[in-house]
Amino acid sequence: MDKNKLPAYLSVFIFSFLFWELLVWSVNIREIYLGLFVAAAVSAFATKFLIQSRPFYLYNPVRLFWILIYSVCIFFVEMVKANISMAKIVLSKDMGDTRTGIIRIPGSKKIKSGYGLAMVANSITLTPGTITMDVAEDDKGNNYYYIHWINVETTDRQKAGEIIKGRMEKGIGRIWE
Amino acid sequence: MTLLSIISLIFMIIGIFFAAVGVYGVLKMPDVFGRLQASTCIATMSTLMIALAAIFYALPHGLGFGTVIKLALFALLILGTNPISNHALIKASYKMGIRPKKRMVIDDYAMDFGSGAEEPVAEYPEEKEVQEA
Repeated sequence: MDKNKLPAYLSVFIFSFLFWELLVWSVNIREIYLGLFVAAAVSAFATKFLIQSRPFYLYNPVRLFWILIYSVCIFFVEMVKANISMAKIVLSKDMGDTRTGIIRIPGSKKIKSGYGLAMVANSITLTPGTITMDVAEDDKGNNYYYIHWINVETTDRQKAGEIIKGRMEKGIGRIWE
Repeated sequence: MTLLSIISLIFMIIGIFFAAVGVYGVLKMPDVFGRLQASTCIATMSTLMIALAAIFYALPHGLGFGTVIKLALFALLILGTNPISNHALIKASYKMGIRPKKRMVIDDYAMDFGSGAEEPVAEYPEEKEVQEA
């Protein structure tokens, strides 16, 4: 872990400096000096929360490309669809008709890392109509998501998993493992 | 009216429509869970669309690329923080013993973790207090 510290620090430093540059959007030398200072201070505090292993995992053009594809082509489309169905529920249905429930759906076997699990869980939460309550792991190493679903279409857990996170999880599987 | 400002207006209308739907859902839903679900509409679609509208507004008005980047980062910030608060709120309210007003179709969380699952809270204490006051 100690040997891992400097690359992790560098990775967070580069990320925070790029973020600073995006926020400031100028190449004035004073801004750059201030940005270097702020990035150094921030990464000294934030490294141990952000990076546990493989510090330069995300600085990979292929993965960055897949993040772009995922957020524009997959996540955005799913979000719009879910928003429209949520608007239908709110505007047309009497609330007595909705079937709410908390369902346990199995996670993909490919995604094991904390980042991947968190990204799937947050994507599920961001599509209206489903909120992740918990992520749990059983003793065989399979991951499960507990989803509060406003309108339960099926109580079959496998099918429900396909409906809730099918495309999104495939997209995330190409980014995180 | 240029093309960009018309596009900006369309995005703005979509965003405000979904914000209105979200607010209406928050008022209409019977319990905490449904309200949180409806409020997700505001945080995702409405915020993204209004940020897009602002981006299309900023481009022809000479506000520069820095503004566009800031708006995109603002949308990303909300997309990054909102699910965490939603998840924390819904889990906390479930663990406190609040249950949906209607009986749930399926409740795997109570089946697997089983904390006070058998006695659903019948009344909503906070709403009672409001009525008395």
